[in-house]
Amino acid sequence: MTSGRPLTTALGCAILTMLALTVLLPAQQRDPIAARASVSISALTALDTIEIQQLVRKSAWALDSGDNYGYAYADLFTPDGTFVGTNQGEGRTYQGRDQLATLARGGTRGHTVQSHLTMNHVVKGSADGATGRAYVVVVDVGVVGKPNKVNHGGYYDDEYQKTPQGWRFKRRTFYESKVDVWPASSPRPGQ
Amino acid sequence: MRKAFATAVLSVLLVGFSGTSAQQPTSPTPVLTALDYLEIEQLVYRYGYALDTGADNGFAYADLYAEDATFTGTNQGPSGRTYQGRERLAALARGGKRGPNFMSHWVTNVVIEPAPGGAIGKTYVGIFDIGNGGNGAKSRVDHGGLYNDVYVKTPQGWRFKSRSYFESTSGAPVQPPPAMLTTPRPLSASPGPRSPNPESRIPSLDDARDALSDSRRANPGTLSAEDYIEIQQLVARYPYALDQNPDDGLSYANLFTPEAVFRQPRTEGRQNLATMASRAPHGAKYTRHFLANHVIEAATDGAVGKQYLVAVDIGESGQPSSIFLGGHYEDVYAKTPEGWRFKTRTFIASATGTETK
Repeated sequence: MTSGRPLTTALGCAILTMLALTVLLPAQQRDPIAARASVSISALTALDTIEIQQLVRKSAWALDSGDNYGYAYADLFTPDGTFVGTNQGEGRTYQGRDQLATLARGGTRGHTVQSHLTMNHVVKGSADGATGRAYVVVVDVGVVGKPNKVNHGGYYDDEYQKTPQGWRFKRRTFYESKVDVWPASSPRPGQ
Repeated sequence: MRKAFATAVLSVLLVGFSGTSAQQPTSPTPVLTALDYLEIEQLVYRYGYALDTGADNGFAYADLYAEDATFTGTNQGPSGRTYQGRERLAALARGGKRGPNFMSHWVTNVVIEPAPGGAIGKTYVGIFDIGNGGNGAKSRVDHGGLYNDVYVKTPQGWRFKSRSYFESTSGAPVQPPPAMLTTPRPLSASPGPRSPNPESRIPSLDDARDALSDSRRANPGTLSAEDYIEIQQLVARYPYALDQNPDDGLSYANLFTPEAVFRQPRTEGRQNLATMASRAPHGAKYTRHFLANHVIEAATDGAVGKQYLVAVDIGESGQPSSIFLGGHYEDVYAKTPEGWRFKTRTFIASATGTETK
């Protein structure tokens, strides 16, 4: 391959440029977070953001109700949509309508099951559509034989895609809450 | 208004008697604008404050409803109880545990749809019993459930036409559909067995038509839909910056204007804010601060807002979870060249006040 060497050189240059930018940009921009935020939000219209908010909220309803044998949940994803539960063993992936529907099946579900409280939904425009994150606290409320309590919680990391049917999840990953740094000055639970 | 209503009644009668059409006249289904969605959401969030604070002797709560609107507590007595009219609705937000800083109803997952004569919606509500002074050790999940709503646009803005509360209960396991893998049903197909459907009864909206056609653009102050959304996003980014804190508090500090003040403890300026954030527990996957009921209002030189906070210590690896703190934030936002930022942010722990009568 004669083009091997120039390609390698070009790639090397590109990597070097990226590295240089990574080092230089924070020094040049006094407020990198602000700059990033204003660029991304402008890519989505107000109605796009609202529709993505509605999508995320509907997913909690669909998951807790198990509507339509779980397909109400599956149909919030693109046909090749994927859910990854990183808290399930070593992490488990569900892809496609039938596998996704099984997530909203079994267990206790129904129209008066309210368990997944989603909050703090951040949405950003991206090259392929949008990305977002939302906190979720999962509560046991009105479950026979269990006291009302917080069961678990964490956050969703999402990729959204605009389809002819509206915004849909392309990929959703759940991460369980986990603390890394707990300064000694901060009281621990139970203290 | 009365004349229009009489005309509407007459037209119902005429169609009924004509026998030429089997169709009932229905109110038009409006197209909801971005501001309609946002204003309905604001109505839903104001509900939490009005109910928990009991402000204005309960009338702040009553005034979220349109005239003749109803609240039904399906959990009150064997067949539920319905309240109608300003006085009766106000009585619901009076007595018991309330106060200007008392926080209990965390409303989330607000889904809104256009419907004939206005809009319908549904929301979750988590009802937390927060210990006085925000005390986590004395806090617990009290109960929760859902609201089913009908909204109507009045000359004063969006209001509840009806709201019904349903307590969360254990559901039944959802069975696989017959021949699941061969004939998956489309979303619109009739659903399988389920618990009693709280959505089955939606009140008639015929008389809402007049109010809707008369309504003016109910835009409080001068905030655009984009302003609302950017302020929502600013507040939504706050917990990530604090809990995940990827950059020694820089992301956190950059949510504030350079001269901003956070209370309590009183912290001024971005450097001090960054230091404060870094003294809180954090981690790449840590979630602790859950915000709800974000109310936003235009103000003379920007906007003000407030939202509920419950800080939850999620138990790791199956350990029990507990509530650390509860209360609310009161904010002043400023529009800067970089976007909306906190100018001041004050946390006020939940506390019961003097009982309203």
